[in-house]
Amino acid sequence: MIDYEHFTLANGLQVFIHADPTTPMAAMNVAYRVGSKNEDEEKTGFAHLFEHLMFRGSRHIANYDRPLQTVGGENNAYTSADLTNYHLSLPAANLETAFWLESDRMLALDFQEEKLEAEKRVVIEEFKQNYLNQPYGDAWLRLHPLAYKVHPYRWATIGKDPSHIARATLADVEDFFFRYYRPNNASLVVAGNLSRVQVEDLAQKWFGDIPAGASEKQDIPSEPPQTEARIDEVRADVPMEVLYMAFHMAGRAETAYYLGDLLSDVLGRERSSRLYRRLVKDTQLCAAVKAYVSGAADPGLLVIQAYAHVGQDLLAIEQEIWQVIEDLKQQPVAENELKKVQNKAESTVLFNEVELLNRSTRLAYFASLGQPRLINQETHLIQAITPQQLQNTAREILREENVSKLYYRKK
Amino acid sequence: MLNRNQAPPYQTMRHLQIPRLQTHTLSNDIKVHTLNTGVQEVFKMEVVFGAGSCYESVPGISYFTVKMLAEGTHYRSALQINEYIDGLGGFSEFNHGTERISVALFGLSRHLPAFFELLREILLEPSFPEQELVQIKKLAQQNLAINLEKNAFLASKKFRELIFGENHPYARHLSQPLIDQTQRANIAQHYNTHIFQQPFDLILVGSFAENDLRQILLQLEQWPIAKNDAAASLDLASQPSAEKNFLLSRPDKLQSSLRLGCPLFSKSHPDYLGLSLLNEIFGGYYGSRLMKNIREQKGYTYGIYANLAALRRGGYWIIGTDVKKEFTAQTLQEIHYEARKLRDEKIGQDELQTVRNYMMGSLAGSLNTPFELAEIFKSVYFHDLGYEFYDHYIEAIHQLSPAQLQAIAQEYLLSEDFWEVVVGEK
Repeated sequence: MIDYEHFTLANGLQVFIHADPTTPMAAMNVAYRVGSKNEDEEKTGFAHLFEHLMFRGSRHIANYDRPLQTVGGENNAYTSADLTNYHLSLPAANLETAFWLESDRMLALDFQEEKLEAEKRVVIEEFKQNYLNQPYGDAWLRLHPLAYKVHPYRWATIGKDPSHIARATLADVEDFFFRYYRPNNASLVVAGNLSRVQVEDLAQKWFGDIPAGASEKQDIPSEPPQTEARIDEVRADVPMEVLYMAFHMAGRAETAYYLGDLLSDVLGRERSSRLYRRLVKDTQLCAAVKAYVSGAADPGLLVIQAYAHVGQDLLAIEQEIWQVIEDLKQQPVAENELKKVQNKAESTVLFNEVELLNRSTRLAYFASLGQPRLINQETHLIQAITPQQLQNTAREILREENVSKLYYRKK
Repeated sequence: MLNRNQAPPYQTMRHLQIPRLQTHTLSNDIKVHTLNTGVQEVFKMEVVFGAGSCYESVPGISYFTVKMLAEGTHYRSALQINEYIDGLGGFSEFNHGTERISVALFGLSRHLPAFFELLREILLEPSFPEQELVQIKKLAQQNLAINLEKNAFLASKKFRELIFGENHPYARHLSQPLIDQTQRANIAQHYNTHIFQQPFDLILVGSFAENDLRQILLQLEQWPIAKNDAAASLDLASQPSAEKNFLLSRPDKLQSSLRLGCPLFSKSHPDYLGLSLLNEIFGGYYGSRLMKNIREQKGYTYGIYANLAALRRGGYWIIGTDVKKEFTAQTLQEIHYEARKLRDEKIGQDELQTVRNYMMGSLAGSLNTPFELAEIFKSVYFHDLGYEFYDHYIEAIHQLSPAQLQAIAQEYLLSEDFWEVVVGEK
């Protein structure tokens, strides 16, 4: 349970406060409702490149990190398909420094060619380090365009290709900033040892005079229903073959999301899950298997990922997976099996809420989704799921016409 | 009118209260360390044995022993153990290191007694089933095969071999033949010598009922303990390689992994604290000299770090990065340039003050959950130190002068003499 209060500044900035008097620390999140799904398909990877530029100095503050470090703070950020979130923690006594820093970079960045060029090189190295120079690192670069044909989820957040990042110009940067990095497109979460009055005063003082942007609504095309199975194959220098199966499912803010989520838990979250038992223990076709959901705001994916033992055939593995799926469609799960995944989901939420910064980041996520109240409803929604609903969800989602398969094979 | 050029006033933290774990030493020498705190109704219970790779009679066996602990007991199969943990909404971790192995269980506070019962069974009555071992070995082979594809993995492994010597326990790693040769009998032997009836540490943090703790202490008091002192005969003399540079050519890869460094000492050495501060400035945090130069200004890499790795009976200094292949030589030059600068020039007061405040804030920020407080405890206790280590640490952060830091750099930061590994191209 996360207690919070909420108010909105005149410029549209949504402010959330989560007070916790038991810690000497404070945390802040600024979540901008922009991610890789807002990108031009010829300039992918831009939202993430932009996140890096946010640390390259703003109009009145030459360097973002140094003043924060000087008051004992730490920070980081992440970009997803749906949002870009900046988070920091620092001693609560120095909270105002966080307001000063975050408001200045919302006001305006210090746009400079030289900084852009250096940061492009860093991001291209990140692309190589995590996606091109790792075994299976490019799997998601393939899966996105396979599963999505229309929706901008069809490219990965890092981008389609490093060449897109190399092409970014300063004009793109400025345009992006003034389009998306406006107070009316952001949520500010302040958490820790603080009071509402204090946050109200500081928010008004530092963010109050930042002009709102035009609130143009960007039309993101929705993905039409898939009508036949899609297949892609990679041959690479990898030690073991991997099968990826991605099924379309509900988006994060829908109640049906929790059905897909729990279904993936039954399939392959833990070592007592159905796929693990069948593929790793009983048939011993696989070294590992897992099922999970992408958790995207717009309709997302339920993914099964199976690592074949050397010499085992991906097609034989796939056949076993379809049998496990068939069982789920034929027979509702037993009450105790359902209880098990529900308990696990509940304790996952609890463990996620132990740390202050995690609580603040979770709140920023749900605020950005437009569903702050969902943060305290999740556990109830999960507990209310019935075996019948799970069976229906399996029938709805886990169909051949709804799957995108990537066979990652050895050269 | 708001002056945005002016930073708001701030306070410098000079002292910190670290909430301490309480230690109960039982009559049979088992030690229980507890801290009952936390808002959420969850706990972490971890048992730690001195049974890591230092104590192996067969290389690689401690890894398999800890992995096999949860693969079956006299009463439950691996599957039943997993169902038990999952059914209670819990999590488990089985860790293995050079010195220690540990089993950690995480769960909802109301289930603590049920988790303790499982822990007892795993520790006292494991069955090490042969068919599970076959699978664990297969999995270890495949994980190893994946890791061997990664430049960063190869570079770190080679680096430890260079500074400690290939057969040193601190440089030991699983290899394909070692995995193949692993036998159930060796696992049982490692268990019987280093885990069964050996004194251990149990760390319980989070929120729990005092009565549950009392029951746990009463039960533990009954466990049979017959200590064998394996640590006494340990030989950890290292044999650093005479050849200091190593290049593994991998022209097919886009990046080179670099590792540079030298052997050092444990946390109790008088220069450790000074080196901690110097390391932070050099490459320990986001605003470090190496990050500024090689990531921010040059854009050669996504990240570069320097780290003091403190082991219980030794330690080493390591600088690591993955860089664009074409810039491998330039990156090495820049690392030497930054090291030389710290030897030749005193650190400015501004930069020093920033690092001090950052380190204090970072420490303060790592004291906020019961799980973090357990890590702080372990970071001293398992290095044969007490909480006063942190008093000295805080004092050193504030006291060390630019001249003292320069002297430390001149003594230790001799990067041209460091061992160097490049996997990729040079």
